[in-house]
Amino acid sequence: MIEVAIEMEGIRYVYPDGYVALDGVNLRIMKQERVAIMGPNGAGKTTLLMLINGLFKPSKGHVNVLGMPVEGSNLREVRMKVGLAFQDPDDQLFCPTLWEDITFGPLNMSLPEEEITRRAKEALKAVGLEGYEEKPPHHLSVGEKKKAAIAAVLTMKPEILILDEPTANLDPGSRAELIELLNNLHKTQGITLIVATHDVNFVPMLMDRVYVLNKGHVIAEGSVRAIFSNFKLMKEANLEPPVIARPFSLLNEQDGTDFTESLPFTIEEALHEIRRLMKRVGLRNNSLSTCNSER
Amino acid sequence: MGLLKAFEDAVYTEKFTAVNGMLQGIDPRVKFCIFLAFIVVAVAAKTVTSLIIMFVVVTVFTVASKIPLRYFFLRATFFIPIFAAVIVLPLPFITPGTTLTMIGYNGNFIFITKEGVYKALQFAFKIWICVASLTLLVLTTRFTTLIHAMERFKIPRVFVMMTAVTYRFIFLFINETCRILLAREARKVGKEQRIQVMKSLAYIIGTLFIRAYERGERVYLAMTARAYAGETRSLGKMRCGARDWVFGVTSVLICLTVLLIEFLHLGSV
Repeated sequence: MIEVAIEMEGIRYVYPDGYVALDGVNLRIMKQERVAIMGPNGAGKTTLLMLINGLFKPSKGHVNVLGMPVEGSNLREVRMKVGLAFQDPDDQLFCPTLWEDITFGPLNMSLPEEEITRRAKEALKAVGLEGYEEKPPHHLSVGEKKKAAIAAVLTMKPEILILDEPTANLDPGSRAELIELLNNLHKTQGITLIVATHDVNFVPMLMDRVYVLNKGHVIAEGSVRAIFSNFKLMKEANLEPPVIARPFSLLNEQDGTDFTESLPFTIEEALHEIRRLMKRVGLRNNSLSTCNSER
Repeated sequence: MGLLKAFEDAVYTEKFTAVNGMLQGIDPRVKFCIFLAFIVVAVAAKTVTSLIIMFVVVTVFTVASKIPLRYFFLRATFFIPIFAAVIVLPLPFITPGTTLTMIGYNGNFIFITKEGVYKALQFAFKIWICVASLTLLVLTTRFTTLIHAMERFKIPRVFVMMTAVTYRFIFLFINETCRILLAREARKVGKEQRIQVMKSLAYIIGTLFIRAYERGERVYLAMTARAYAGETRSLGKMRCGARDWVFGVTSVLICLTVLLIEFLHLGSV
């Protein structure tokens, strides 16, 4: 059974100073989908996320989350179902210790104490921050803070997890850990994932679908493959295709090979393509692994 | 900048809270009350005898809590000038009494009196005991626990929350200020004129204010996103055991003794 998780219709949002952040935005995200919201700086990505959680009220149009209109008495329920992790974890971690921060959400939900403790321990384990309970947030590294901010949201057991620029400012190791964590969450809990990002290398590893935002409008929507193969569109939105796709697209242009059909966007896809190519030129399929083992 | 970092270190000291000393094991509520009582008694005390008793008690507590005395005395004394200087400095000059010496020029003299110096020293000592009591409380109690103790005493939620949030973000703004100062330093060429320094300082203060304001907005949004509706809650219970009672009763007895000395004029002035 497929259900709609988030639906936005004709959304317009004007900031108090008159700046139109979003105009005529329509969006539909299904349950358990993993959707990336992409676009240049100032495209309105963060504003869009704030609207889903009901932190901002649209100037025009309406937002539905899990069948509930995001307004008035529904807000509490919506915020319990939608977990939003802010871009700057320092905005989110405001308690003297990590433990208090991650229990803040469930405490507001008036859950019983044992349940809160259980959830908090689970969340810390999920993000790999066990033993950090009593640490003050200002003694954590940026990567740890990001994880902590996600843990603080996970304790609320949201059905929809929204992350604003989760990979920004992360070192490659922390980034890889984050990707694994999000993949796990999706696999084990079937969480709906919405991520605002311009990390083009991160998107194909994790996401199903992409919305491209520019100057407050949705300029394109489609599968990761469809969007990323459209170089003209990518350029228009100040984005670039993933690094791994570049040599293959150049091969296409210069040598006229027929990669276009399946331009690789991840390491695995690239490996697959290389193997296919090698097979075509007559190299055995396992010669690559032989090379590896000799080294 | 070094000053800012030093301030951070001074505010943030939790390394002794984990030590297995006497005060560390006492219920924070009891500690909170007792040290408050100490301060009241120290302020009320007029005789040196009482103050010396208080001094000995605070010192004994410090040793029993396994806090290095040197460190403790330095910390407790460090803040004295800030609190006491304005009041203490004029005292030797304005108190009437036996003249010790006089400072003057061209026939205009001001006199330093024996009673004045004595009064100034006594006052500084008094302040020292108050600050030392607070220092001891802060050194042996984790800030969070202190916040919880405040909550249990039904101190208004808003006030408790503000204290907690201030504590959390003070470090963030110290770091932010350091970054701004560094960025300024990086673009500075040669020696600046004083007026320029003043000007850029004004910009920095302005920028900090705006950043603080915007940060506040975002923090509030982040709290709202986690179902915050204007009410803070907290986990965990506190238990008051035999040890706490022994400590509490002993401390109260000390306070009463000091007050009795004061009341019966037993101490030396």
